[in-house]
Amino acid sequence: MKVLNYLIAAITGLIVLLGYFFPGTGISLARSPLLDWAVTLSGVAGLVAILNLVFHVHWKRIQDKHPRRLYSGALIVTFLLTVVAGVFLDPGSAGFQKLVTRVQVPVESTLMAVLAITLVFASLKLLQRQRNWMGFLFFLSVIIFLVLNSGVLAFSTEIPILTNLLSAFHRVPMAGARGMLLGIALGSLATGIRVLIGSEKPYNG
Amino acid sequence: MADIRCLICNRMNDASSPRCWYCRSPLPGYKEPPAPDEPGEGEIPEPEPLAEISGRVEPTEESGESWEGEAPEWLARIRMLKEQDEQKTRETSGLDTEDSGLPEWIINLRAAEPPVMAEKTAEEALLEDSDAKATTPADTYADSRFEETGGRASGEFTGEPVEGETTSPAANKPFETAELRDGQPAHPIFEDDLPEWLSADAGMVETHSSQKDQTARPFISKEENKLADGVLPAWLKAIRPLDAVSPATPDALYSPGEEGEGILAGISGTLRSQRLEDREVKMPSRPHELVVTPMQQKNAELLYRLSNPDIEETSPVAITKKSRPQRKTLKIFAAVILFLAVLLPYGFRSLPVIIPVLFPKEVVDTLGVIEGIPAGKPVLIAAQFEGGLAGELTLSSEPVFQHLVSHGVPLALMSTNASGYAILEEQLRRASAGVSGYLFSERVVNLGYLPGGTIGLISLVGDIRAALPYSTALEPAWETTPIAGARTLADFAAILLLTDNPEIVRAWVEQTGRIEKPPILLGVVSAQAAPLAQPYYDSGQVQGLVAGSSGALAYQMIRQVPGKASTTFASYQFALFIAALLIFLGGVVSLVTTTGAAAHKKGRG
Repeated sequence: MKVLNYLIAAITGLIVLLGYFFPGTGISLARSPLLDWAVTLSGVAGLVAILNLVFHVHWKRIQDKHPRRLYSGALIVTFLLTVVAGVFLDPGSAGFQKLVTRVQVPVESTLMAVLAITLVFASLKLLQRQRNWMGFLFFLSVIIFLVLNSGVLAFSTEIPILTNLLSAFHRVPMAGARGMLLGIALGSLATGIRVLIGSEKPYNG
Repeated sequence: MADIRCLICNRMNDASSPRCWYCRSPLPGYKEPPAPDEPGEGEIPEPEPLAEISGRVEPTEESGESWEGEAPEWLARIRMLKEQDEQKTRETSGLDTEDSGLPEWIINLRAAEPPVMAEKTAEEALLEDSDAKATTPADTYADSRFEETGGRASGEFTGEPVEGETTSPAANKPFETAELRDGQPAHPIFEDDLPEWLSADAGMVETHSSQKDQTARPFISKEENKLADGVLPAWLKAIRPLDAVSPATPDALYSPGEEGEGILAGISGTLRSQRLEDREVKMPSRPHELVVTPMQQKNAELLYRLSNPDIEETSPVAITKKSRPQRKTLKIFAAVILFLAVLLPYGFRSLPVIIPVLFPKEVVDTLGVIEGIPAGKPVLIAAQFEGGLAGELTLSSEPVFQHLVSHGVPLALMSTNASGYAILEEQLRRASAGVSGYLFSERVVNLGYLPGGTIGLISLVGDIRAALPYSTALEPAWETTPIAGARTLADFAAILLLTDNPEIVRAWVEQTGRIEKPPILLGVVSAQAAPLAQPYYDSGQVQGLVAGSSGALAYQMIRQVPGKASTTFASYQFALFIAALLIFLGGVVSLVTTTGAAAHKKGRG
């Protein structure tokens, strides 16, 4: 069975890859349905994941009388209400979209606000826990880039030396970002090759 | 006292020893004292191996006379016939009588040592004597088999196999001696008997054997070879196990009589276990200790604290210990300060705000691209962001949306996450609300959610109509007015990407880059994604970028159109500055207090 999985993954991957190099050929034509199947499958996988979360994880919590079963009940009720609303109002209706966004956006924004406060509080004690040169460097970086991004040093345009200095500081994240992007690209390439040759089998679960 | 050489291992032993100290084989010339009680008629003499285990070195047989006197007539007759047969064999083979009872490999060993064998004159007599009285279990078995086969006398033995038995060809051959085998001087190990892997190197065996014959152990003198009883060589003493140094003597472990108690009661010759109180426990001289460096200890504490966030600081680095109420107070203080920093600019408009005077080039380029979009050519707006960052992206994208709407550009919306398209449509509705004469339903089509992540993007670039065939209103999307003329992605004037994730920027850059005439790619990203998205702008793969509130403010200032960005920028700037100030002060206080506490502790210590 594992061999069959590998063969499906490797052959599909090779067809999709070769379709890039030989456009307009049979391989390229075979690639399109494969990609369509993949998109459909990922949509179904999302649906299965939602059903598993609701009716397996949370429903089981209620059955097992878990201490936090109240939250699971709230989740199931909310889910069913949303589904019913989506069926009766179509997904494109402004009312349904407001129903979703008025709940989701404030909740997630609140979490982000809590995260911001937690990070500031953790930064207050930064030098208490990491009293070494790396900790000190991180501490300085946080302060410098917060001030830079706030725009309070906009007056520096009148001072050439300060302008050059701030420009250099602005370039530091770019340099780091380029390095990270190169690393990501090489990592993606290596992962693709590993999947094609069967060294990596993410489809085995 | 004279020494006796063992016939088996060729080592010297004390003449009083009945057996070889080294190999436990009977020594020649030893006269055993008469046993106090001889086995009766009905008793079966204990086999020799068992006698060794039980520690009783008893003679398995008495002298031949005594046996003959007590053995039945048929057994005596068998023995006599056997002796005659063995005598005949000795005469033909030239071997001594004692060899007939020895295994072949011992005969070969002895044949390989002619000097030793040559001086056995007194030993021969002894062996004859021992042969006469040695009735091993093998002999007993042979005797019984002899009876079973119908009493064929040894004189009648023809070498033919007994009925029902199979014999190897080698067994049918007369007993070969080492010297006479194939007319060649034989080696103690027959090459024919060697395994395949060893016989391949038979030359080495021959060389080794011949050297052994010539040297005859020159490096071991007789004096060196002799060890007193109970004295171990130094090397053996060093590696002996703990049990070997037990104070209990081996003889004490054996039970010559019957066991009196326990589950073995009534059974004789059992092995006794050693008593626990007599067992010597060898204490380790160097107990194992876990050696941890200060850095390892610190890392372990950090990991422990990460996995147990409720635990108070126990690290020696963190000298100042704050109680839980103090920590809570500090947390509330930081939260209040930040809230005030966010809200105060809205209440006090007079607070100074430093507006950037230089506009970023990427923002200027974005504005220029939108200005240059041909009339009637649609723009695809794609989104993938979390709901938590919808607020920032709403602010950032508002001036761009306003610009697009004011130009009357047909728009198609889509998202690669489940909630993105709904948030996007709402933002666009808000942006178009201020523009008079803009019919949202006629100028905007929502294509909904495209699943599959990067695979979905590949499919979209390959065939956008097949990838997103319907709008969220469940109508055929490509028959609607805004995008009726578009057949491929290249038919769009530009793609505007809204995201908080630089990975999404990368995916879009990679996938749209393989189109022959790719549409212009613009980005509206959150401030956290800006550093990683900026290189794509610098390389020209993204033609315009608006990042965060500052980018939106710059866009508004260039267009000279009022918007939310200008009102929220003060709050954004003030909050960032206050956060930086808080962190700086907190760091300085931490540095001072921990240094002072450490110095105080050092002074006390």
